Order: sequence, then structure tokens, then C-alpha cells
Amino acid sequence: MNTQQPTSSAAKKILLVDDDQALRQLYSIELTGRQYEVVTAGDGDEGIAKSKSEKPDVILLDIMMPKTDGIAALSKIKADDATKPIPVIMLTNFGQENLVQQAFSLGAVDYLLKYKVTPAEMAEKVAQVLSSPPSSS
Amino acid sequence: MILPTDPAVYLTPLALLTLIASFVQIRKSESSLVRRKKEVDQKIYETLILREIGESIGYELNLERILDTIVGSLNRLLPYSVVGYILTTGDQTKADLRFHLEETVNRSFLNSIRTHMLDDLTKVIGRGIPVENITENITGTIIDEGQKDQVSSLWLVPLSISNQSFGVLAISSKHPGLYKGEEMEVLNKILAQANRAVTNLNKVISTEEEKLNSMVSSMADGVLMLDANLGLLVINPATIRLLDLSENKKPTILDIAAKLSDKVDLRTKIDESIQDNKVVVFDNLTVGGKVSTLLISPVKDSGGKFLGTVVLFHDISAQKELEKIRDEFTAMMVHELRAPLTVVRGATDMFLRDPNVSAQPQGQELLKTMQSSAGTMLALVNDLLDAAKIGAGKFQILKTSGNLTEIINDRILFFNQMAAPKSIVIAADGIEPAIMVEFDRDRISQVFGNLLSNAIKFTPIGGKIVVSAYRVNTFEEIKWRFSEGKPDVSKLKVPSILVSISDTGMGISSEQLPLLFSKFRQLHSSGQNGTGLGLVIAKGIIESHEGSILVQSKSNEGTTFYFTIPTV
Repeated sequence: MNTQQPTSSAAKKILLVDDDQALRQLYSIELTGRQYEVVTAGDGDEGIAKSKSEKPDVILLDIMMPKTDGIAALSKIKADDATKPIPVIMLTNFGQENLVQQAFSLGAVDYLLKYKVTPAEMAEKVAQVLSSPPSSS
Repeated sequence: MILPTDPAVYLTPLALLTLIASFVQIRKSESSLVRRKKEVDQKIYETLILREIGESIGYELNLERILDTIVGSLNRLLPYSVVGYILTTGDQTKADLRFHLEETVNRSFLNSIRTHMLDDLTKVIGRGIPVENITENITGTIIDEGQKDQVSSLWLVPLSISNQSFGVLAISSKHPGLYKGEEMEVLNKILAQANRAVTNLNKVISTEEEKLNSMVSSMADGVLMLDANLGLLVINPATIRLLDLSENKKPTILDIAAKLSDKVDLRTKIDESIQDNKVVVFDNLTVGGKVSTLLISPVKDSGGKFLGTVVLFHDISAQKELEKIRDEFTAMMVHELRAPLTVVRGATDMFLRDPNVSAQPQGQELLKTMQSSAGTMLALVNDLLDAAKIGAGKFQILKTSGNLTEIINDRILFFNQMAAPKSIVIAADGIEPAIMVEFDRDRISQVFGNLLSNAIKFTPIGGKIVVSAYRVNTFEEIKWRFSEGKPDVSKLKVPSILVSISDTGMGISSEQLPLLFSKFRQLHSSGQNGTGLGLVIAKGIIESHEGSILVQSKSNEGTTFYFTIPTV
């Protein structure tokens, strides 16, 4: 069990889960430029593991990924009491209505389409989620 | 004179005229000219009686009607008191007897004919029919017991079609000395003619029926034929399978409608097609795991008489499946193109907001990422164009003479760098230093690229990829390499250079092997990305060289791709 407490005064930690190396790099540069600490994962399984071990403040979660996809990963993150309170923002290029609904019903706080938002807009959304009070559930 | 009331029994006036004409002609039958005329007339008669029979009975061969047609015109040919015929029905255990009285006679007159007819019938069909199984029917004038005349002239002839006897025809008269002359020859000839005509018609009908049956049976689409009262005439095996009906019991329209009740009201649709006299279409009927279009069409004869309904279940599952695959392919392509485009747009956005970024280390990284994203997109678009050209048969290669070994070594060197992060080693196995072939250097290089990048993708960490090339002069030298399953060597040319690329990957299942080289079909077992066009393009390039591409795979052991380049 990981007993390490998050150092509240330090930079906020963002877990970026995406299988596309180029996109990981792009978003990492944007977020680190805004003084966030960025941790990355290349597939759903790694994302689930790191959401537990890294205790991030926000998770950015892609959907179409090898091994465990983003929707399955989201449901596992939300089923685990240790990771349940972490706000999850879906960050994907798939915008089908059923996926969006599924993500929100599983507890995602937002759903961003990569081709619609610039890295800066994505970072602003992260800031917004971080400043809003944690959900009561 | 009283004739049967059914209009079908009347010959057309033309047929009658011909009948009489032929009789008249036969009476003066000496000269060859007359004989020729007679033959022509008989031909006309045959044609007419065929048409008459065809028109009055359609596709249902009703022997009674045929005989009624003949009996109805008989008085024009011969004088007679009573004409009668007996026909067996069913499996020759029953019989219908019909008398037509042209003149009044007493009952014993009829009984006398009846006895003769039954005797003859027993002889021709080889069995007796019990009295209780014989129905009798009398038309024409009345029976008069006051009449004392006996049967003085009687002429009996067995009736047969296609060499099978089914009855007896009797012509009788109170007057003696009849039915001995030439007119009996005419009647015999007419009967023989009718027999031949009916036999021919029978043959045509049974051939047509067989054709129709075998066509309907072998159809992949479900077919139902219903008569005017919704009785089921024909149901083909495809319908039985589609609706999961019992094979043993002949289903009724109710059974069929019940199977479809939660999808479509078949009875209403059939009524609609009959009432509006049009083809009723019901789309996207999902039943039996298939998607069908239901077509209901009324059937009429040439005279516009309603005969029944044909119901067709046209299977569009394959079409739907293809549409789905295309949609998935398009969605995947869009996704594959969006990812690098998102990177390029996101990165340019960052550069524009902060011009100093490009001078910083992460700015340099971003530029490299943009460059590789652009490269990915370009490769993707090129693949799509190549696949489209191959699909349209417009793919062209430019052959020059060159050393294949050089290409192999060059590609192995290049792809070993890409394989290094997975600790995969690519090695050449005993390849001659110079294998000279006529080929498109760049395109064959692309084939190696596609096959090697696939091999790297599907081989686990620490695996091995081996490339070989041999000269082969016979098919056997290629065939023996296939331990399981026979390769399709029909298009293979020898002598050739046979190149093999073997990996130690997860292998490809035998069900998926045939899908490997088809467009739109990326195997989804691995979650690996890519367009799945690599193998389609490799196949197109190899076939443009008149070579063949083959694959052999064993689950968890690995896959070997082979391709040949003919050396003339």
C-alpha cells in the first residue's frame, strides 16, 4: 500500500494517459510549461496502475488505446475507492454520443475532443477542474 | 345438341374448321399433294389443340378438360349415340366415368358400354377398380327406358399420355356398321396427335417445373409461392433455414406468418400487394441472424387472371456487413489522420502564442514531433492512394535490373534500428551476395518495409525475424515449405526468387489468414494501430511483378510471409 501523502504545497500532478507518443509529448510540453507535474501512461492498464501509485490531481484519459481502453479504464478508476475522487477528463478524438454519455455516467468530469481544443484550451480546462471544489461523492 | 357448359371444352371455331377440313381432306387421300396438305393441316391442328389446351388449362394439366375438348367437337366428325370416357384418378385406385348422350338411350345401353370400358381399363392399367370407387356422370340428353335400342356399333380406344395408360374412350351408336371406315383412322390420328401434343406439353411443363424447382431450391434467397387462396405451393430450403421451420412438416402460411409476427404482418402485406396489384417491399427485415429485404409480388397470367403470390426474402446481410466494414474503415482512417493533424495544429498553436518556444529544448522536440507527424500523414495518404490504385487496377511499376540482395540488406539494416527498442533482431539467412532480378526497386523495398514493420509490430520483446531468399525452379520447391494447408500455387510462376520473412510472433489464426490481404480488414486481435493497408499494398506490388504472396502461420510460434519475383 502506498502511504505517501501528497505534498499539497507542491505543483499539481497530472496523469496523461494516451497511446500516441506525439500527442503525449505535445500535451506534456503545454502542461509542464504551466508548472504542472506531468506523469504519462501509454495504455489503459498503465493508466489504472499510475492513477493508484502516482495519486494525480487530475487524469487526462484517451479512449482508443491498446489493452484496456479509456472507458474500461475509467470504470476501474471510479470503482476503486482509492482513485474514485480523482477528477477524470476524457481527451479523445472519438465523439460518438454513446461514448460521451457512457463517460459521463461513469463519472468523467468533462469530455474534450482533441481536434477541437488547442493544447492551451485543454490546459485551461485542467486549471478549471483543479480550482472547482471536489465532488461530494 | 347439348354440350358441356364449361366454355373451356369448346374448341375455337378455327380448330373446328381445321378438324373438319382434315377429315374432308383424308377422305380424298390419294394424291401426294393431298397427303402433304393433310400433314400441314395436322400440324395446324396440333398447334391449335396445343394452344387450346394451353389456354384453357394453363400450367395445370387437367385430363378431363382435354377429353371434354375432344368430345365437345366429336359430333362434327362422327355420328354417335353415346360417347363416354373413364379416367383413373389418384394412384389409379379410383375412376371417374362420364357419358355424353347425343341421343336418348336406356340404362342397359349405358351398362353395356360401361362393362366394355371397365374390361378394357382393367387390361390397360393391369388392375381392376372396385365398383364403389367409380363415380359416374351423365350429360347430354335424357335416359329413356322406353328406348329398346341395343349397342350396335362400339369403338373403344385406350387413353395414354407419355406411354402411361390412364383411361378408355368409347364411342357407341344404335346403328350398326359404323366406326369401321376411314373416319376412325382420323379419330385415331387425332387422339395420337393429342397424345403427342399433351406428351410434349407435359415434357415442356415438367422440364420447366424441374428448372424452376432446381432454380428455386438452389437460390440463396428465400422464396415462397402461394396460390390465390394463400395455399403454400413452393417453399425453398433457404426459406426453411432462414425462418428456422421444421424440415419434416410442410409449413403453412400461418406457420410462416407466425415466425415473422414480431417483425412484419405478412398477411397484411400480401393483401396489400394483391389489392393494389403491386410489388410490396419491406426493408431491413432482421430474422434468423440475417438482414433481408422482403418483396411480395402478385402473379398473374397473360390474361390478367390472378394466380397467386411470390414472396422473396432477399439476403442483404453481406451488403450490410460490407457497409459496416467500410464505415469502420473510414472511421479508422479519420482517426489515424486526426491524431497527427491534432499534433501539428496543437504545436503550431504553441509556437504562435510563444515565439520563444522554438529556441528552447522542448520547442526543438515539438518541431521533430511535427515533422514525424507530417511524415506519418504523408505515408498514410500514400498508402491510401496506392490501395485505391491497386483496387482500380491502375497500379504501375517501373522495372529495372538490380540486385535484390542489396535491397534486403539495406532494409534489414534500417529496420534493425526500429526493432532495437523491442530487443528484436532481424537477420539474413544464407542469402547469395548477388541475386539479379528485373524489379521496381522502390516498390520491392516498400514490400520489405511493410512486411518487416508488421513482423516487428507482432513479435514480442526479444523475438527474432529471419529473412531468406532462394532460387526455385519447380512448384514442389515451394510447396514443401507448407507443412499445413496447401498454398494456392495456381498463379505461381517458376523459375522465381522466393523470399521469406519469418517472425516469432503470436501467429495468425487459420480463420483470419484469408482476410489478411483484403482491404478494410485490419485484424483487431492486438489493438495495434495502422491502416491495415500494408499487406494489401504488398500484394498489389508483388502481383504487379507477376509474383505471388503467400503466408503460413502457427499460433504462438510465428508467421512466415513468402513472396516470389519471377526470373525469366
